[in-house]
Amino acid sequence: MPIFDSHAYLADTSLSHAMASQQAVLSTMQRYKFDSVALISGTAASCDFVAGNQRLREVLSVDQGLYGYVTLNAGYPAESLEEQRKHLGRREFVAGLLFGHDGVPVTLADAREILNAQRRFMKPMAIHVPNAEAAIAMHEIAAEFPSMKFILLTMGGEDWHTAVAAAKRHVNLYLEISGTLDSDKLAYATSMLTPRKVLYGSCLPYSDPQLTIGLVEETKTLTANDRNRVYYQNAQQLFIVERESD
Amino acid sequence: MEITDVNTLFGAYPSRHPNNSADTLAEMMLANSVDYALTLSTLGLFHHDHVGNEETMAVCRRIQNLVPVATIDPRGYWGQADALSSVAAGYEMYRFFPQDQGWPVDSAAFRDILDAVPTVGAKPLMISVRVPGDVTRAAMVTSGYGNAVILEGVNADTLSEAISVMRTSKNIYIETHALRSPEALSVLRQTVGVARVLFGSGAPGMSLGASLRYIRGAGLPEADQQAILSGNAAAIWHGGAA
Repeated sequence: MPIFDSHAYLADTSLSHAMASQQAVLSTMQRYKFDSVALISGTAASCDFVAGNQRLREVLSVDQGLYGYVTLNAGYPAESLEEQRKHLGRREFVAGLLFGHDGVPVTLADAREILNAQRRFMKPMAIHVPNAEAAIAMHEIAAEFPSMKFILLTMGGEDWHTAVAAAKRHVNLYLEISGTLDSDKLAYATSMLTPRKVLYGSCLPYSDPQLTIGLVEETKTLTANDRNRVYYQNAQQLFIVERESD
Repeated sequence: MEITDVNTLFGAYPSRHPNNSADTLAEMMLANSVDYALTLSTLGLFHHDHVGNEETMAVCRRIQNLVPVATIDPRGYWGQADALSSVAAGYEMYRFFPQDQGWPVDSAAFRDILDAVPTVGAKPLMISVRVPGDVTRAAMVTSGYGNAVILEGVNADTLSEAISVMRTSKNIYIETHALRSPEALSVLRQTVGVARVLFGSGAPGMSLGASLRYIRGAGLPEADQQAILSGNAAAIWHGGAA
């Protein structure tokens, strides 16, 4: 079954070099039989989003299934608008991405200017949603931008019920499954939202893909078609097919 | 290959896992070919240790492959003899939950329990560690304890600390459910070996299948996988701690 990993990092860590370079990423994809991956720059996520996006751009390759997110930063709106302009017109960048910082989640008030600008590129926006506070903040964002599709990376962490509730209320929210490995998480999310709203992600190199694959495989309520949607079709549709039709 | 899961916890959680019963755990074990699970009731963690321990024992008498674990809450311990005598017989391990119960790993009351426990049997003990510093404090507090000390919840942020204390304290083990990094088991193998690594999942609340897949997919030799999945636990409970 093909897999599109919608949440992985181009990053070298002391524990793992599996995603440290383009060659390492390709080798890791081969090991886990991933067809495509949407990468986030580890440098951009942790520190310098401008330098990180540039480095990521040099690694991406549509022909090899290497796609990427343009990391933006609500604390730097002018620089973020410039990053959107520089990168988001390119095929290999499939979405924008916002992280909260210093324990504060992404909010509408902080991110409005960036989200407004995102509309002209007709691409989704991913938002890192590690807890209930971040998931609750998504209500306001999703309501303000109903035509924009949002991907909630890590789907609320331990507070995944809150993320599912947000996605139940707003049809433009999608959930990416890395985060906690609660045995009932996927069955609940897919029953509340349908499997069309759930995307496979690994969080490589910080987490072993075996874990999230195991989570999908253990969810007995999913049919083979459902699994195919979660593993591949939903990301393909969101990142590639809809963009090409636009 | 026999499999023993040293970290399971059945029963209600305050905010999630509606179907977290011991029967669900037994079904998961069957589906994943897990032979034994050390387990205890969430009542002992979230409500009252004695009440939880009694439920744990009752459930383990009913379901054959569940092995009873007792917990003692230091917030309710001031040296009373019956706090320990009630957990002396029949339980195979003591478990402690400092973060979930809101007491520090180096709590004086916890030290008192560790001093007193040998009078009723120094069984293996498992202590939860969550954030940097917990591992070091747990190693200091349990220094000199006469059986295996298993650190539950070691993750990428605390692995280096765990390796450090495992180098100096030969009775310290780690449980696997929170490791997650693709290379963590290889790093353990290269640094302290796998003889003190024990398979744990957090099931039924957490995915047993995902935790097993992590061990099996780590690229370790078959013998090392077998040691982690069951051999090391058998050495503790049947052959004495390393």
